[in-house]
Amino acid sequence: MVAVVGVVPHSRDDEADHRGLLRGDEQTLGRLYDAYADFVFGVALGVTREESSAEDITCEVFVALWERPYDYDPAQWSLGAWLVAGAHRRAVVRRGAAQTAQSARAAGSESVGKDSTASTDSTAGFAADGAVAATLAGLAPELRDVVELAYFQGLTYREVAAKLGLGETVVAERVRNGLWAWADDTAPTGGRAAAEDDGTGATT
Amino acid sequence: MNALPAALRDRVMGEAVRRRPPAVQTGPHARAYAHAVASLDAMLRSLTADEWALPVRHDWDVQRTVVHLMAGDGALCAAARVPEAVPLPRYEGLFAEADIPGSPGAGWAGRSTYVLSRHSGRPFRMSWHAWRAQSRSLLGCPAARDRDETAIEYAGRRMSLADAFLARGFETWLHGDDIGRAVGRPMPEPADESMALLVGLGLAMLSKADLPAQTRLALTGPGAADARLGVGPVAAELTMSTSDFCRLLGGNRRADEIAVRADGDADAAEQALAAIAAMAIL
Repeated sequence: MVAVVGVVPHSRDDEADHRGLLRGDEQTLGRLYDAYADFVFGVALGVTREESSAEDITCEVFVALWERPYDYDPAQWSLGAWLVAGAHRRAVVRRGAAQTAQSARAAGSESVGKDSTASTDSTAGFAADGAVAATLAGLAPELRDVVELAYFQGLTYREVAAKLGLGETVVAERVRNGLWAWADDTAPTGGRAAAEDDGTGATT
Repeated sequence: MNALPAALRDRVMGEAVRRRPPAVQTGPHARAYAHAVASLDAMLRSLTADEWALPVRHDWDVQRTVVHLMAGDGALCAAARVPEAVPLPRYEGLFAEADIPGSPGAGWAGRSTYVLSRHSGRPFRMSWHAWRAQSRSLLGCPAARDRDETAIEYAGRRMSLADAFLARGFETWLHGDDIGRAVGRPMPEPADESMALLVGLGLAMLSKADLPAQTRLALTGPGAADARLGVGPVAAELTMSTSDFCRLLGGNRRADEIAVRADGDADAAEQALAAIAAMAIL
């Protein structure tokens, strides 16, 4: 992977893919799913620590892109960054809702049950995942830190800002720049490679 | 395991097409129409209620522009055996046909006037969904798959049903482009192969234009073409993009609103431009 620093200009492919979505070509959606679903799912899982939530969020993000393709503007975002940012936003909201529900139940004897422990175990190693780590390593350090904290440790921008002693707008800017570089660096071949690395055919 | 579950792909694709059906698969002659209908529908999904009331062209807002499209699409319904969203009234012997808006004798403009009157004051959603349902029915009929050469009355001309599908692709794209400019969302141009078919249809119509001198027409961009209008020695040359040619031909833009380069005899160039604009095939 090559280090890419700063804002990567939007690629012509994103514009062509966007036209395909506008024209109602479902094969375009299938191609985008194949290119970006790993990362969208990974980000959602990193934040929510819950596989079923990550699946829901992945579904929502791609369906929203298909259903309302004009919400995405290729002049503003790369497609990969837009999808990942959409997953992150939803995941933070979900996690917040889950935490609220959990603390409301805190007095009760029965807690969340088997699912939550299982998925916490399974996500513990997520940030260390080989392909993602390699991709993150390719980012400039100041971008890598914010992307890792926001997208893989699941912190909100405010939490990242407090942790790194930065302003919230600086964090937002860096996340955005980091995502441009990241999505550009990983898709589409990086996305597939990552899937094959940890795929192992164990998911059914 | 943190791997993406394989079954998720089917769930995503299934949910997506349930929420927004993909463009109807058609033959090449109806593809521009299928793409334009899908794109315009996507644009309409993104509009707020206030945006529906924004002025587009003429004195039409977004809703009226969509109803105008529906009226034009209706001209294909009889031959395609698809029920019309707004059936035109049939008056028999009571009045002169030409005096009744919407009657066959009142012509193309009358058809639009009548359908607009029927949708005046209705909620925008009703007009939008009626337009979409009629368009998708047309796109699903056999004539959208295979060329049907049955001659129909279309915009004051006789043309095959197959070419009328092409003309609807033309009009839906251009009016969608007008709406897109009004609401600040770009309407995608037809695919290259579709643009070539649109240009071919326009040039075939123009071949009958009566011009005192010959003008060379150099069309650039997707579907590029090099054509001659009129007879005799070449007196002038016009250069413009294929999309601007379509806009001029459709009566969607005036000659002074597009980027056109004219070389040679100014009168001949002027007359050729006027001949293209006079087609006003929309």
